Amino acid sequence: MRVRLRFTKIGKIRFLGHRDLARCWERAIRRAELPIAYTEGFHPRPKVHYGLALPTGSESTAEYIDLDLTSDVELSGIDKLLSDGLPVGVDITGVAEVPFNALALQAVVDHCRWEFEIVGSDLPSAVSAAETLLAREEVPLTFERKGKAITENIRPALLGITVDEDLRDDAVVLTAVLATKPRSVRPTEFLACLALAGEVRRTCRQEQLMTIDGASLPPLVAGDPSRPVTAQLAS
Amino acid sequence: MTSMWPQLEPLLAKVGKPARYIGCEEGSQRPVHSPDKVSWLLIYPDTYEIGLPNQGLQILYEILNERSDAAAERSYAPWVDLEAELRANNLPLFSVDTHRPAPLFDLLAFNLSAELTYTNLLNCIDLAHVPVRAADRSPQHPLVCAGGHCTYNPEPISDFVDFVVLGDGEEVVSEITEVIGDWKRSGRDSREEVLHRLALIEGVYVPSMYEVTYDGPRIISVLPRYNDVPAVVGKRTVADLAEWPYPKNQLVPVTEVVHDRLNVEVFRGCTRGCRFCQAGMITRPVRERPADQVRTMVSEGLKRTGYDEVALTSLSTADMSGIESVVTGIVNDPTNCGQVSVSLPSLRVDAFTVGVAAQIQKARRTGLTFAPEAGTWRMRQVINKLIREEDLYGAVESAYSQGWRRMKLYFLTGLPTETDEDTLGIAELARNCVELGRAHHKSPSVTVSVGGFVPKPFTPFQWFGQNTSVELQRKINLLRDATRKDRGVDLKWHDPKATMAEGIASRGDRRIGAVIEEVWRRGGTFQEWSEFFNLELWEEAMANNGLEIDWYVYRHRHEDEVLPWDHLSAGLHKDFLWQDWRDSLNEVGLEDCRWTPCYDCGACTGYSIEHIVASATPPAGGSQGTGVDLASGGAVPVTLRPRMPGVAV
Repeated sequence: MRVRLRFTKIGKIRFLGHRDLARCWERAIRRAELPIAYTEGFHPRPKVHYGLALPTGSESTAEYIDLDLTSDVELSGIDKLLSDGLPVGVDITGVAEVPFNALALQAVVDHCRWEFEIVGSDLPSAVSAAETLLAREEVPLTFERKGKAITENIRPALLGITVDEDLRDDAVVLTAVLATKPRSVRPTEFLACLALAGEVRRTCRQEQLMTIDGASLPPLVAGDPSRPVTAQLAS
Repeated sequence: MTSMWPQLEPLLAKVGKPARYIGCEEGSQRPVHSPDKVSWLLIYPDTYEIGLPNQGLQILYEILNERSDAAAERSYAPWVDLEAELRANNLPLFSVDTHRPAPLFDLLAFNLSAELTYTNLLNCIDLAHVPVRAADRSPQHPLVCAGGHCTYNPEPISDFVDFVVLGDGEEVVSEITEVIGDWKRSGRDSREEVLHRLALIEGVYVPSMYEVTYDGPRIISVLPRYNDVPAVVGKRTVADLAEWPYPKNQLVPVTEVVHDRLNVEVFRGCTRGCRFCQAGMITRPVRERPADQVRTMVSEGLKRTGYDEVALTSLSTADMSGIESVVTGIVNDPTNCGQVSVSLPSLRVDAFTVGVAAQIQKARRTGLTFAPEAGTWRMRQVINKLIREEDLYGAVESAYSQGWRRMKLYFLTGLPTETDEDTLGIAELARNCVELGRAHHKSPSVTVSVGGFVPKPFTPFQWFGQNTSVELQRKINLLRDATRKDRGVDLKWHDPKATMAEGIASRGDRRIGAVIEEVWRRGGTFQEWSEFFNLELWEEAMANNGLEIDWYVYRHRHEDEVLPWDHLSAGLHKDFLWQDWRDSLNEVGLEDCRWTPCYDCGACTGYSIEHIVASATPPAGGSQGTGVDLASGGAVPVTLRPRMPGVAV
């Protein structure tokens, strides 16, 4: 069976890189003695699939991992088994079985919701910066690809910005929905375009989302392990 | 505020590999501090990746935290980018466990495993907002101490540490904790008073309690300043490893480190008697951990950590009694989750050992490493590494025939009495190993790693004048030229310049302290890292302090010379070491005393302890001179094919 887990990456562990976190998962799976499938070949690796990489330093309440198991396991309690081997701040918040032929996480997710806490700014400036950015028809972003500078218009990838009415511990709370297709807009790139004074204290990915019939849905609804949304995507 | 985390968080976003500063290891502790507890900050003065796996530090971390009157946390040298941020923000060094500022601890305890980390020691003390010189500290400052192999000659760092510990730390940390606890309760008045009390603990050396007198460059005497302070400080030795099954909860880091696997120490000490090896001399006698305890520590450790690899560590693991059954037991244990590979970090050079390795490295077959250390049988008799050619070729043949394609050979150059013939013997051995491999593979490869020899205190070679870096470079060039045309031989070497700096610190006296301080003040940290090592800093610092490299590094010492560490003892009689030095020059080998009569080196008799080995007979299958016919040393087996048509090997 294939099991999809939703998990957090909060607190000190946000400074752990994607590859290191993958190694933590492998050890946790071994410790939990789950019947994980291994790849064939000279260097057998456990068959696990990760979602979109999270930039080191960012927090997240919406990370995903798929595990391929060689036999069926009881879904309830799997989170407890794995949690013992996972670092503090990595907590499993959803579990569901998905079909083996479900599309890969990286293929189904097409936008993400990010929350930023910005200190050294104020609400009117944040609102005005957001409005200005969204009012622009083109937002050119220059980045490097294969050693060449490329400029692209990322305006179509900016799907929405909201600013909380209240400050949180002196910080402006700004939420942005950014597309991940055709090219992922990184939180740092978005902030550069926003050009708001102040310092970003905290960046948190709140959701990874799929577009299904015009609706935004997460690959697995937190707290509802019974109905994985991806089941609808089985081809 | 006892956690610096809020101040650190924005800085970590700006530095490389921030995960090395967050702690969060499985097995890490969050000790509760209180004024009636003695708080230890255990520091490894190199990067987290190198320091975290250190078993000594982890053992003391657990033992101290088990005590109700102590709390221990860990710290590592911050990389240069974070150091710059800390200094710019006037923030001190911190622990990775609770991110507690270093100045709040009662003790800063350093693990010193390599001399080139000495400048990092100073840097860490300074980053802890403590004066680097012990004499400048007030009672409110933390006490600075150190342990580890380097502290057998702590004289070069004696200006900077308040005290050092010689030998095994398991028992002595508790005795130190009690003395410092008393001192705190009595008002923490005088630093001199607590240091005097510490100096009375067996195995604790307080440099400031001793007066050194000189005659020109020579040391005349090193004498205690108080009557009750011992004239000679001896090392501590844990008699029975079975009583110390530590670490019980080995730390599992979240980020990648060196030796990232479960480590179980199977024995401590080694009596092979290799004359260049300080570890083998100072950690005597051999104390094996019972095989049952090893098995329990391995199976429980694997379950708890989720590692799929375990290393059985010691100075020569193949020498453990019944090693074969221990390793096969681990590999075939059905209760271990999934496939487990066992690694033996220090392979003995013989076919038996390779056979064991072949059995256990079924899952992932990495390279094999052997350490013949010298290129000719004569040279190996001088250094007492009694590996016959047939042992090496037997091991290599066995490895190739069982599927290995790559192997690594470790050698030293600059050894006493070494001739160019001995040096070139290294190329010859490597060439023959590749030749053996051709019978099994198309392109076998042998990596030859050559290090410059640095004589160490408490070894028979402590009197030997180190080769100059020019001479070492000449020998390396000889080897480079000799192996240039050999396909399959890949030569690597350590920078002879760094070898020179290591030599200064290795056998230096108290006057070298000023040199270390100057190198550090001029920015010379991370000297173990080739990108940061700076020879000019060391040369200029020596010259600026009126000290000669020739005197400290390149000069042969006399029998009657007072050595800077003569007031310290690793248990070895000085006349035993001198005799071994003479034997060495006469090319006389000395067999392993574990299985042969005692040579009275002093390590057992002086401490009323003995070797603890489960088997009184030497291990099977040729074992570096024990129980084998050494007359055949130097004979090249006839199975080798000629290198060139018509030329016999």
